Amino acid sequence: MSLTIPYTRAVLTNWSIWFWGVVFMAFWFVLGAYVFSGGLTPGRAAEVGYTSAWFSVIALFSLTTLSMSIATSITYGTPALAFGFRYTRLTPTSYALSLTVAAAVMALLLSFVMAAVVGTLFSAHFHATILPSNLPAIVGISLLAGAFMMGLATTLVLVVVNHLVPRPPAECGS
Amino acid sequence: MTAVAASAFVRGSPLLVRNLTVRYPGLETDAVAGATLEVEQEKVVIVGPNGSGKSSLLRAALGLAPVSGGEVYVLGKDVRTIAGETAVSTNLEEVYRLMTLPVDRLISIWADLKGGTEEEIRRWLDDFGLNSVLHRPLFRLSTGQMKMVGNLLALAFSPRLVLLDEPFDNVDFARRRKCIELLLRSDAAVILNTHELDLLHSFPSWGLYFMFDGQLVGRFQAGDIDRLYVNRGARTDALASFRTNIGTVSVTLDRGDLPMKSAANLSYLLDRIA
Repeated sequence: MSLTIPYTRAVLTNWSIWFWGVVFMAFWFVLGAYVFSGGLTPGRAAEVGYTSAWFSVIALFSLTTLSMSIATSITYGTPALAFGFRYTRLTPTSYALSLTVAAAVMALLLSFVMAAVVGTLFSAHFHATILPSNLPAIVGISLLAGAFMMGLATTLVLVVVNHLVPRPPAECGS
Repeated sequence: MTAVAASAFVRGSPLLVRNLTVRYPGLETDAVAGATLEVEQEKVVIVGPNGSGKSSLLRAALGLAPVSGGEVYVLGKDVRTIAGETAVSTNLEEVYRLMTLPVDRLISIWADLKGGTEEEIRRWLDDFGLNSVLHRPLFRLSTGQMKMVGNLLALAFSPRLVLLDEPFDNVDFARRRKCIELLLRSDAAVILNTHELDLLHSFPSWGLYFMFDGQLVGRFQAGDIDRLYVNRGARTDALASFRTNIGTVSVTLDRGDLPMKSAANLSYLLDRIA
């Protein structure tokens, strides 16, 4: 049993990720390109370095919205998971794999959108074409980042649910 | 494993609950206080006022409540370790929140997770006039619609044990009748929680338990509801007695202080004998 396609579809159509992960981050790119770049020393190397730094930071922030969305989804679905692992064919492994694939796909998409937005805005501002020079690396790192965000979110939720919420001594189940 | 549990394991009784205690974190009292219940391939109804522990009992059987003592075996398996048992279902909305999906896709995913087919539940939805809910997620449905979708999901995919929590709350009369017919026709063992005494007339052959302050009292026959009386204090002819916040209350047959049928729900009954 795989929930990969339903989860991927749910993540891709999550307006919250698109708003906070793309629209809100694009707002910071505009500030980075047109407001904070005032004191930058003119020159290709400085402009490329400056653009890269903004992409690195904002792409990371963008992926944290994915992480928060996954954490919310797991928390919201905790009773469903406790039931599902007992009384359906769903297994923890297939659930984790489905969520990881969904996160990796969304992370890849977010990274490409971020790269497109940053390339467009900063190129326009500096009157020079500034684009990523190593696309395969972006793909690889984005997929890994999605998997990492899924792992981070799951770990944080598990820590909170299992160790920070008070429970009686002989509680049933997860 | 105790002797009772061991025998249930061998027989694979749909549900065995023994000395179950449920206490939620931060609360001083037990939601379920030492309940014992064995359900064979049969149907039983548990009646109790709001907050009496009925839902907690079902949640414990589903692995969703904090069990602080006792044992729960579902289809002969310990609820703490059971996995992949697709023949158990419930109408609790929270178990269908795996992700936010329209009902249409939820049904497809659930059929896959349960290893069943979608035809039956789609036919029921049509029969119940619920096709309009298909393109909306559960949380966007009215309370009654949500309850009915939960009921139908619980009865679909050939379950052996169905746990229903207040299945008729906010459900209109026509759909209530249809749902009762489905329940009566079902081959599964059913445990149905309700606070409505009137409902018992629809299930005369079902077993009957009462639940007060976390204590399970029974067993009676639902068809005998018109013959049962509630009394304040212990009586020698009592079929069962239990402690409440107004003291000991006993249940008798054919004579007593207050007929059960005189009230629509147990809260009102207890208020009257208090």
